[in-house]
Amino acid sequence: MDLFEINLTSAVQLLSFLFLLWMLNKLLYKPFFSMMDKRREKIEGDLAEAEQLRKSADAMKKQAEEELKAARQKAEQIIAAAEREAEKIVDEAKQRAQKEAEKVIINAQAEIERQKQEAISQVQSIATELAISLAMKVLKDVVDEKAKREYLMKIIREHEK
Amino acid sequence: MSKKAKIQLIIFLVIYTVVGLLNAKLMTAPPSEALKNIANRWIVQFGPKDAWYYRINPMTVIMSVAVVAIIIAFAKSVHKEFKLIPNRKQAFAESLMDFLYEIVESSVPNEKYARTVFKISMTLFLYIAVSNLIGGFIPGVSVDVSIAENGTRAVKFVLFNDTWFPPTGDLNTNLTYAVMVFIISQYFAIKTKGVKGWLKGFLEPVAFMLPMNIVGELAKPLSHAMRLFGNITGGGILVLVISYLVKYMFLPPFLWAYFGIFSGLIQAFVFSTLAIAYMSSQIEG
Repeated sequence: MDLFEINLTSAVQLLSFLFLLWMLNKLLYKPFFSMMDKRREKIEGDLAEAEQLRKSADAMKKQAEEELKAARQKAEQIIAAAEREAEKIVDEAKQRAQKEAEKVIINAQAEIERQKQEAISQVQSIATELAISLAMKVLKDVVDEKAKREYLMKIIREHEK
Repeated sequence: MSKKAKIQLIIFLVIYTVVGLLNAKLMTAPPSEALKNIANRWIVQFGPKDAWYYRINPMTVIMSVAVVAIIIAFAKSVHKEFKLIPNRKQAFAESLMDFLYEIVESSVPNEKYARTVFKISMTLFLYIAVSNLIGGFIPGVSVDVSIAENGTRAVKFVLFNDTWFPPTGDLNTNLTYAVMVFIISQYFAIKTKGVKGWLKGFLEPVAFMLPMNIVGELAKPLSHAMRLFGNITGGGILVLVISYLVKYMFLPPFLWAYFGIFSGLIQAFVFSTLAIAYMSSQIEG
């Protein structure tokens, strides 16, 4: 039974296995494990660094956001102030124009009134003169000059009242 | 498929068919005649006595040295360029080791022994995988041994008649490694549990289970060795027989692919995984 024979080959195989184990330990396993450890350290370090960078980036982002918010608020304030200013200017202009217009209207009314008065008084005096001269022409012969004038004046004053 | 690959395939198929036809013409001996020496091994007696320690299987030793040389050559080429960022060769070696190391890590309860277990099982895996692969489907020098009536062996070397002889097809190799794994696992048991705890383990769960436990422990290396031996030797013989029957035409490549690549790698993986299991089952966490 050649297939099942156990002989000195076993010892040779054991030795060749041990030699292979020794060589592979030197060539493959030790570099492999040291590489794994190194890689793990590197990855851990990189991850920690990335975490730190992320944190600082977060802080910077927050700061930037705050600054942006403040700037926006300031801009809003400026816009509101400008709007108020503009409103004020418009209001003032409107008021001034209104006042001007009122003044013009008042002046015009006064002028109209004055001219009306003037016209009325002119008409009155002309009418009076006309009445007097008419009356004098009518009454020339009836009453003496002085009495007539007094009487007429009296009537006119009454009329004027 | 590129044009180059198509041309290569056509050339291969033409050569393959021609060789097959030549084989069919030249192989006139019936399979029973041609295969009668299939189970014989080349055994050299170099001592005066007919004892086991004066006998050696030269083919196993030669192929074993070749396998070791191949693995060390590969390891050296990887070692030269071991860097933090791996190149292709290193990535292959690393993924192979990572794959086995994950199994070791998940099964060994004590972190302290994980690397030792890994080194042993990884070496076993590489050795068995390479020897199964070269023995599985690469044709090469084989030995035809005929035994005369008086027990003398006539050795004849044959070229490209069979695949290279896989060292794992020799029970010496498999039994040695299985017994080695067995002894290492018992050593781990004694180291982690103490001699008392180790002996007590045989009385569990009840005292009369002692013989069963001993038989169970002894069956481990035997089944461990026989599984690999049977798969490789049986696969090799089966492929050879079928190759003779079909005169090396058409079927053998598929059988080589199955028994050489698939079954060979599976058996290497099974052997190393069982080694891990036997060792880690004896380690107390």
